[in-house]
Amino acid sequence: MYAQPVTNTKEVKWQKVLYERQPFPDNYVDRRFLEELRKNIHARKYQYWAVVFESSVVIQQLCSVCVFVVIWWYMDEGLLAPHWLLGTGLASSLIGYVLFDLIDGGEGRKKSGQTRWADLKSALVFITFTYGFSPVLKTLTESVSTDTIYAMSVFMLLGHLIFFDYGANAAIVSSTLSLNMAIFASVCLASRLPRSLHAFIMVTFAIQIFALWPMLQKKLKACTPRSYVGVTLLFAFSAVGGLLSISAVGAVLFALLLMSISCLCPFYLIRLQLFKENIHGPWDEAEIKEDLSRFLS
Amino acid sequence: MVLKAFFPTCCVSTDSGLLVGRWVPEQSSAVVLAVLHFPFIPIQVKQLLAQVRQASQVGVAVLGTWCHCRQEPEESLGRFLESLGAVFPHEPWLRLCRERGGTFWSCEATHRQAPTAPGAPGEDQVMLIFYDQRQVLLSQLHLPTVLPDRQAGATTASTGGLAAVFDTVARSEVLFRSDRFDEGPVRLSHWQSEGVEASILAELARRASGPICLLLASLLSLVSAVSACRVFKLWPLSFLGSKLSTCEQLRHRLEHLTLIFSTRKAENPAQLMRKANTVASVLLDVALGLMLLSWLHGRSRIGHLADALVPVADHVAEELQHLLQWLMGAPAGLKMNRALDQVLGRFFLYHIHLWISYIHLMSPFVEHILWHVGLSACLGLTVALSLLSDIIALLTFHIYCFYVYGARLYCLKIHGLSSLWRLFRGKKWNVLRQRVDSCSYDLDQLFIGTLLFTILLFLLPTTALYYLVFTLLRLLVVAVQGLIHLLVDLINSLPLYSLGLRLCRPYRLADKPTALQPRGAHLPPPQLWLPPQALLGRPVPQAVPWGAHLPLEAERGQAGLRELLARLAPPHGHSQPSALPGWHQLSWRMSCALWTLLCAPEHGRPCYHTLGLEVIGSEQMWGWPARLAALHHWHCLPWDPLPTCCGHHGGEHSNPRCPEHCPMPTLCTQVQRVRPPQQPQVEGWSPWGLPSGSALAVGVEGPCQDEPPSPRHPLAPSAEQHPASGGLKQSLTPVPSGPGPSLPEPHGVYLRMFPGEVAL
Repeated sequence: MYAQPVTNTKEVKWQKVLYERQPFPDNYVDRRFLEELRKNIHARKYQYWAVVFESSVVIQQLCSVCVFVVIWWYMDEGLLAPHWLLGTGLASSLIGYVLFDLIDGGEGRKKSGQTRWADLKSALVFITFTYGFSPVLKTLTESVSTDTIYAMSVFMLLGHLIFFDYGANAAIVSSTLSLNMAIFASVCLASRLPRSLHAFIMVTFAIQIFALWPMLQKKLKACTPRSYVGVTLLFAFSAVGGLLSISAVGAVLFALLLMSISCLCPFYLIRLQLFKENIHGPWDEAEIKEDLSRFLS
Repeated sequence: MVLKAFFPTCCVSTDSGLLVGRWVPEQSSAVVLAVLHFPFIPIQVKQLLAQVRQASQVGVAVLGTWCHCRQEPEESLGRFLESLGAVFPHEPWLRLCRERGGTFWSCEATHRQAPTAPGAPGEDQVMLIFYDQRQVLLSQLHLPTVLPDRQAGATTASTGGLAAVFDTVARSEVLFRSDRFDEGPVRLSHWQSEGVEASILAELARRASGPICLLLASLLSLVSAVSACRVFKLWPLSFLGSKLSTCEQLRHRLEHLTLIFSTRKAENPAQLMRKANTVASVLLDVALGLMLLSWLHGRSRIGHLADALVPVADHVAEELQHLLQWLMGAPAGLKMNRALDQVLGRFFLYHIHLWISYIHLMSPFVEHILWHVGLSACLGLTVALSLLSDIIALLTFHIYCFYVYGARLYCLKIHGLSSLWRLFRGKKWNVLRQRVDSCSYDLDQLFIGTLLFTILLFLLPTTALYYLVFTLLRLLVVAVQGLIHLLVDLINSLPLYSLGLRLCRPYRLADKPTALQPRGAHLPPPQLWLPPQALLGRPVPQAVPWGAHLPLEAERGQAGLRELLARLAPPHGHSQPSALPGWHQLSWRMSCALWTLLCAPEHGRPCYHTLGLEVIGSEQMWGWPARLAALHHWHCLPWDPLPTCCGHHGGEHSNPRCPEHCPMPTLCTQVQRVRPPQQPQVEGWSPWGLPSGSALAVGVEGPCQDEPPSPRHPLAPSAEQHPASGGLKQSLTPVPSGPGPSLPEPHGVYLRMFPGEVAL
């Protein structure tokens, strides 16, 4: 009886509390409701060139697959001498090995504890097993039709690209499966080459370009981004050049693919980010900010 | 006059001798019971016949002579037989003759007293009747055993017809206890002699079977010990023993023989049946084996088999070569890995080449081997079949090797592929936790694993094809061996004896019927029936302890008595006299105890309880109808009995005495409860004084009189009780003159009681 006259006389302000009795109905909406609207609280601002830089990893893998296929085509056609490829591969591997240590000054080696002797043993294992199995690889798929072999190789290489670890933390990533798929594809393609020596060289090259090259590129990107960009551009031009020698249409399409991935997709991402509107306000669900891990066993 | 001679059929083929039997003069019949063979001593014969007559009371005597010989010595034997008539005099004298091997019989009956009767003919006509002694005895057509007093009457009554013959044969059992096979002064032939020879042989066989079984059992145990020694447990011999079906079959046969010749007795019909089945199957097996042996060794069949064996092996080898060449090409249009295909094909072809060389090397000795193998059929058809199965296994050993190679290669490949597939996907089998876990492999491990996986995956179809083909071949051989083993198992396990019993004697397969358990009815002791009768002549103190049990036990006792009468009379007679003494002793003891209770209390108040018990006990004497009437009347009372009693007491005595006699109303109440129907009929004094007077008299006289002899006192209360009960029964009826004479007696007793109370 006494409070009502006071309410009538004074203008009471609405408060977002539940422990006080306020003279407002339950479905009352205050004028200051929309003032608490927030947009894009957790959104991250992307820079164009940073995104282009990150997309270079995808460019690298696509170029690796392209180079592998081009080399295989040259050997299958007999245009490339196996000995030349073997020598070039070994030399490149040696240069890469030296660069791998020079880039970080040996800190990675000390941290991982990998000795040069172990590396040498691994190399010997690779060469020995590959050379020993090459006659079997030569005759492995003689009775299987070529179309089946090509189809299997295509699917395996696509799987390799899908499951590769590009740095994003995704459940689909499985470096082991990716590498195994690449090796499987290389074995399938190697079985179509004319001689055992070709098969041996092909499988060795596959190991170099699918296993060793990504390791070097990862370290190069982490330590010297500028040189990484240069190497990427050089690798891309080499791939396009090789493909151009086989098929001009293929080269043009591949170049367009690379351009779209490296330039167009980042631009598209940044342009679309302008239209992003994540709305937050009083209507959001309550979040528990306290750590509950101590209640778990 | 025709003379009837009854001759047993079992003596038709016996040697010559004397005819022993009975002569029935009433119907002129001679019943021959047995033939007494030569030689004999006449005195001993007479003694034997005397003993038989004394034991069986049948007029057994020598009736005549029996001649069963050839024609030539008949003359001398005839004279000898004639002379025997003087030793054993009998009228008439029978002479039965029969030629050995012939069917001619001659029967004569002569009378020695012919001169005395000149008119009668010298010889009578004889009617020879054959009868089966064994059937006559088994049929039991003779009269049952009767008392010696009536034996003459029975014999006289049964003289007519064939009853005399049956009676004579049945009662002459003493004569049949000895025959020609027993050691005795005389040798007889009768129905017991027929099967003695066979039984003797059976007895000899039965006695000899024991030692034979022991010998064979020990021999078998020796063989088992030899086979179970350590040498046969070593790897090569144990492996061969488990693989060769011949060794298995021999082991099986050894077990069967051990079971057959074991000296342990069968504990139940199942074991007996199993042993019999084993014997039957072994006999069948050996018989079939001998048949096979005779068939093989006749007409040089073994040579033909040996000649046909090598070409068959060559043919099989050629077929295998064709199969392998087909596999090395493009089998069924499938594309195999040519390199692996060539390697495997050449490997197997080399094995076939080795096998053919081995077969040709062994060909000169095949006939000899088959001949010796054929001899194994003596042990049974199963052993021969097992050997055949082993021979097939040896001849197809190369196919078995191919199957083993293909299976091992295929299993190795499948195992490797499953393991490498896990590596391909970056996983690993966790042996400790028995599950698949993720694993991070090194680069070289991944490379080698993937390489091997690829190779195995692409070579799998070729290996699978070889494995499939050789498995089918192996299945073909195993099917043939399986059929042979099936036949062997059939012969080993066919229950021939059980089948034979099922066909011929089904009843012997049934289990033993459960013995019927005689159930005797549980009869209650007959003493329980006596209390009602005994109570009639007993005084009240003795009747009280048994009163509570009267209704139920009496009825039960009567039922038991009826059952006893219906079933057995003697037990009833025996039980009755034995029950009386027990009853007397028990009643005497109860009366002594009751008397002690009456004498023990020092005060007068316990007497009230005793008196109440007595009063309640006396109620039982009336029976159910009176009790029901009493209860009915008690419930119908409209007034309270207590004031009436007090009123009466006040009227009789002065007021100051009434409070002193307060315990009296309790007794009055009890009395009123016991006899409610009497009040409306008669005045208050008579129903109260009559029963209470008698009870109080007993209570008062007890402590006052210190007489030691107790048997007299039980008699006195009973004498008083009789008129009391009589009075009560009379008072129940509406007789007006009944209660009149009883007034003065209770009054006097009442006066006696009060001085005691005053003293207390």
